[in-house]
Amino acid sequence: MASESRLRGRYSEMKATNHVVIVGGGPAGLAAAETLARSGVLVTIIDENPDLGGQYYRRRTKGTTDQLGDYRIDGTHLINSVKKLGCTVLTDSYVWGISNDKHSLLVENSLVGKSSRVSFDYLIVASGGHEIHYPFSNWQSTKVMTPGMLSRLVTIDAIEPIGRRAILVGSGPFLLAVASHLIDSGVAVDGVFEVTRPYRVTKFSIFALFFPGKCLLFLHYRFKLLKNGVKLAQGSRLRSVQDSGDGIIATFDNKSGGESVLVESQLLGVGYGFRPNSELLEALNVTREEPTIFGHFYPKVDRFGRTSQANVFAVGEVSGIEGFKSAIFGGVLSGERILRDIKGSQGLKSALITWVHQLRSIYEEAFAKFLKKLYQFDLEDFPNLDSGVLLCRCEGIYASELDGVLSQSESDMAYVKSETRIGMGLCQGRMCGTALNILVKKKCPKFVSSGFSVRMPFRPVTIGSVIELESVGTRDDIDV
Amino acid sequence: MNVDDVASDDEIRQVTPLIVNGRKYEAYVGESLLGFFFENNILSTSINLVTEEARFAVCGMGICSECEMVDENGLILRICQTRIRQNMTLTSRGA
Repeated sequence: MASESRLRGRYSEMKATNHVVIVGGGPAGLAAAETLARSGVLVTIIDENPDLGGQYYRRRTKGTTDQLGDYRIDGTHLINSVKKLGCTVLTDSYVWGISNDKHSLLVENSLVGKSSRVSFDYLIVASGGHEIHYPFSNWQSTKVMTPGMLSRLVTIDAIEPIGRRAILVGSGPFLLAVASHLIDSGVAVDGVFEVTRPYRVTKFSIFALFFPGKCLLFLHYRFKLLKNGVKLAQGSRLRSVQDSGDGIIATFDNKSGGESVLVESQLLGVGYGFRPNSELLEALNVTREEPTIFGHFYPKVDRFGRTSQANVFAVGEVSGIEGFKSAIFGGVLSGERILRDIKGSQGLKSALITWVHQLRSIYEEAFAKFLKKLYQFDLEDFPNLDSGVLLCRCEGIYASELDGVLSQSESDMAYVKSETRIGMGLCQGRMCGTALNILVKKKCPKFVSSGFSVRMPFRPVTIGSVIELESVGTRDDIDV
Repeated sequence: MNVDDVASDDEIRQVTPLIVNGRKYEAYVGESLLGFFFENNILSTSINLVTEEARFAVCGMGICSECEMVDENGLILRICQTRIRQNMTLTSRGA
């Protein structure tokens, strides 16, 4: 109690000019919030989910927790700590825009369909990432989903797995982790199909020895797959999925040639790694790194997550897909950096702690670079689409509709979008943008990879909500 | 709005009627809608307006918009991001 009243005292002393808004309540956002709020800084966290935690620390509902226990209890501790420290938490709320002066976020609460402005002096964007998609025949089947959703269903929602089988397709170490979750939950995994060839032993493999803990984790996953008779295929490209009674039949071809392989299962989880949720950063015009092969952009940040825009930080997956530990160190470092700005110079002890956090962050970043090289894509990993493949799920646009458009010698994403309506649906190109970028790149070698340009609203919002927001005039300092 | 405003501890584990596209179910208040749909084999949340196909959640994290439904107040919600409330009535978009 004594510490709480001391904190309240500090809280009331804080100047209004030190309001830190954190977008995203996952590991990075929570770590930043905890670091700042512990020192009495006024913090507001905005998150789309019903509770804090993001994807990694997503909370089980109380009923499931009572039955099965907590999941990733370190997340519960972190969330409780942030709440106890008095951070303002806006859940069920998403950022759909930013004011002209770049100091207020436009936020809609999805439960009531109303928007408000949330002003900030420092902004930490910790909006995470989402899985990358590439279409195939019948990917609109209701039995197709991302590996992340499969994992969520068995770990968080704790679905009864009786009779459920699944296959995992795509790329990245996440597939192995999800396979492990599924097996632990009693789901039969009918195979893991990796499009690249990361598990061949090459000279590069020796670098894995720099990361002994991660190697052990990989061996743990690999052993579990072997023990459960799960096939791990490499160089496999998914061509189609057919619905078959209660299940599906997936067809793969091998990049090296040979006959197609058919695999029967009930559910299919497919994802090609992760991409950043970077719309807000794009709208803020922060300086970017070179785009990825998929046309995604990461902000240029320093070790503390500082972007090219004053007082704007980017941490966690939105600044680089490096795993939850890196996200936590990133969050802590951004918080420590803001504290230094607000309070002036650090003491020796805090400087040493920051230095240790930086070392840990560098180590995690090195591992992420190793993985990126290990699972490196090339354009041939993604086959051209047959004309009957649905490309834009929202607008119902098939690959055949690209034929005339992509014959242009200098196509770009905006041109294709305007000609076909691809990317104009509810998901705003998040599902099809990656594929379109690859298809344009294949057809037009001069094309420089890029995503769709970002425009407000970043998320679909109700018109009434926007009108109501405008009716409150130019107030940029609405209390949250 | 804080999660505590949506479903307080007292409400959790209360059984409530839940109507999905006219069909009545019983569900626990505060539980995950996505989990409920999956467990009850309701693998259709929306009808695509162009292709007229049934669609179901793909990402489970609020990105794909395939799981959007309309609630009794006319609000559009994503079932993957929503907890079960008292007396919800959900209708597929496009149904």
